[in-house]
Amino acid sequence: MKEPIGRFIARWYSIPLLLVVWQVAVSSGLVQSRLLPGPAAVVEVLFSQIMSGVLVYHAAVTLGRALSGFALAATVGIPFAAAMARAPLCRNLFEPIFFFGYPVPKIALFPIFTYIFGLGTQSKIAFTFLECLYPIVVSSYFGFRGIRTRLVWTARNFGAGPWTVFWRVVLPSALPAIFSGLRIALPVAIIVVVLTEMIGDSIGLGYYITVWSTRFTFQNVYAAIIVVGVCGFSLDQILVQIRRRFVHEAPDAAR
Amino acid sequence: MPLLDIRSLDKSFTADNKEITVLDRLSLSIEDRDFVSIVGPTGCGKSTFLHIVGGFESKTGGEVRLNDRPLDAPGPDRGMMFQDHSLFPWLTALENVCWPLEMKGLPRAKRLEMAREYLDLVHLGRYADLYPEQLSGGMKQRAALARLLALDPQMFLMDEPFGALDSQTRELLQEELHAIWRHRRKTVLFVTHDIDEAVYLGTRLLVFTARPGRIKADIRIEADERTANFRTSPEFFKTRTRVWDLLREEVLKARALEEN
Amino acid sequence: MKLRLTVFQNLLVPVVVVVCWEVFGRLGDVPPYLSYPSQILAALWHLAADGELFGAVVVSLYRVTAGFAIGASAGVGVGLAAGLVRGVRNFFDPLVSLLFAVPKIAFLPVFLILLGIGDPSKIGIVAFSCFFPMFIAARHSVSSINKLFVWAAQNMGASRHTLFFRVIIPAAAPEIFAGLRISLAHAFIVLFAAELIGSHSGLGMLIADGEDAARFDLMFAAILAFAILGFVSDRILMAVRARVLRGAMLGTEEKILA
Repeated sequence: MKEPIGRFIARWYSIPLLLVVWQVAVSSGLVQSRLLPGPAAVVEVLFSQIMSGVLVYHAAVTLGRALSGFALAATVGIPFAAAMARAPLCRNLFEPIFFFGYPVPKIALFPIFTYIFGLGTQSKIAFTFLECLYPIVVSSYFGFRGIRTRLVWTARNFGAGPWTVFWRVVLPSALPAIFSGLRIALPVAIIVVVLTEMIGDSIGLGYYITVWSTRFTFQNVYAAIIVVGVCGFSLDQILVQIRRRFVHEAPDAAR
Repeated sequence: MPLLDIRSLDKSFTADNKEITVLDRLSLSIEDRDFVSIVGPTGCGKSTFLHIVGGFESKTGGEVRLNDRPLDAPGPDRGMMFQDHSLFPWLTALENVCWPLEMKGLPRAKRLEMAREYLDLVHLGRYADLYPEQLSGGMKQRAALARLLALDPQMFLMDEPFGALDSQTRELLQEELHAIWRHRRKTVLFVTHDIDEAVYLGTRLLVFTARPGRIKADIRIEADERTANFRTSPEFFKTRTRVWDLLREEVLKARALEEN
Repeated sequence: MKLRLTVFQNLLVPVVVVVCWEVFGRLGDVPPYLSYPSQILAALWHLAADGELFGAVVVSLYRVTAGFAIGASAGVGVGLAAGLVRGVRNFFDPLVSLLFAVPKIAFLPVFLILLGIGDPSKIGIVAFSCFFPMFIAARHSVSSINKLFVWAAQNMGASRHTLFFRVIIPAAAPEIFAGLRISLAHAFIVLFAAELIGSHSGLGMLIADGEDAARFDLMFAAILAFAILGFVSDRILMAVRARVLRGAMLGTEEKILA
């Protein structure tokens, strides 16, 4: 698995290179450091703001909202998708709403959410729920519909009842599609929370970014952006690990 | 009394507002321990026939009785094997073979022990812990066969089980299936495209007509021992030629049907 | 008969919602900020008649199209280059994976300061957001091309030029379109936020104005216009895709989606 050091450098040099160019540009006064503080300044702020707990607090707020909306959407969406796939009445009633609603930019509805749920956490969670619901339902729905009939037949052949067929055949078959829906929805949740926090709030990373940018203190803005990125990346990795645990993935073919 | 008794079985369905008759007043009785090969042109309804006997598809009319009881749902007395193996991709070969044993309510230790025996029987013992994707085509079908043996049904329903395999693998598996059938004395309904396979395995061979499917010919094949020699015997060739002559006519008819 | 029942069921939920909304809205049983459908349509009509809507739509449409065009074509170009050339790939892959997890909207303040409050900052942030999904789709499309296509073409004596335009591009097209669709969705989300947070024009501004004046019918009308704009753009992209990918789409079981 070890790769030669030369290859490693060739594959990763661009990040340090960019950081160096950035730092040099700032230190030499080529760019105005108020707009673009150097990486060293950003890292300094990042550390001090994490140590003082400020960024940790705002990140916790943002993550809490994103995960609540996401979890709610998964809890409602997956069973709903199963019902749509299995029951024709449910499918006929709701399929058009999901298929025609899918390409509609739902963000336009956010102002209405703020009226119904207020400006705080509730409207964020409710709106994240809506945004996450679409990819989760649609992807799971295709998963539940795309089950190979032969597998279901085989299970029934062995004497499995409807309940066993669902838990032991239908669900494992649909799981990969369900997880790809979740993986689309998770970054959506973070994007949407940060974005709505930028539109109007008094806590959360989106608010933090807006506030420090109006004060023209961009090292704080970049520090918050880094925190958002790290959160998004780690959540995705966690989801990948969970998927690895629950979804059978084809190991490399036998030699 | 025959094991399986079918009286004027009809099957039709509507597609694009057109009524299509797949099976037309099909009558047939099958004795216990028969190996019935079924050949017919593409689309003649031979697979549908098998699915109806399996209880997976519904019939439009007529009667199907197994052990003198009407049959309309899948059950562990008839074990189905498909061309595409239908192993559960998220389970290992061993876990797949355990499945029917679990459904029967056997305790875990017993299940594992029996499943290993069945895998050994089809020469897959070494590959028990591999997933279906990791197995070759022939090994997958072997695993599916082991799973069928674990279910231990009275009747095997096999829908072109070796259709996707290369010819060497196929011949080996035919011999293994024959041996299993001889030792365990099962009744087999075996749908295939391959006339050689049908003649080699069958004690009885049914030729289906082009759609709507009826039975065109019902041939007994008396040879007792199906060794490799049987494949080169005069009787094999005589039967093979006869079946091909019957089938050829139907294949041409089916083609005309397709072109219209 | 069966089809009629299906259509009836298809329409049932939306119709019931709209009718209830209308009835309870007129009775004054829903809060005023929910307005009601006929009032919203009247406002939409009014906005359309005095040209205000048209002006806002043109502004928003210009920003989203320009941003999408710049960001997506850059994404396709760099993505394809990264898929084909190791050097390009080595340079861009780490940067993209670094920035991919960051919601691009977080950079809006930077764009606002850098490019001002007018069109350029909106176009810039939209383009920036469109670049990433497009880069990933285009880069992946090249690396997942069936080698046999390339070999077959080389066997028939295709030049590098022919290979690129007649084999690689068509083979990559389905995934490129998938990327375009994701980019387009991002474009509208980002545009909306950008217009709402810092702008003096466009549909987002119209929505904010309606809100400020407590004219919820106007707010809804602008929201409706924005939703229709997004929906129609997606439909157009899908129609183009269906036309371009005629052959490749045969045999794939898909509806509006995927």
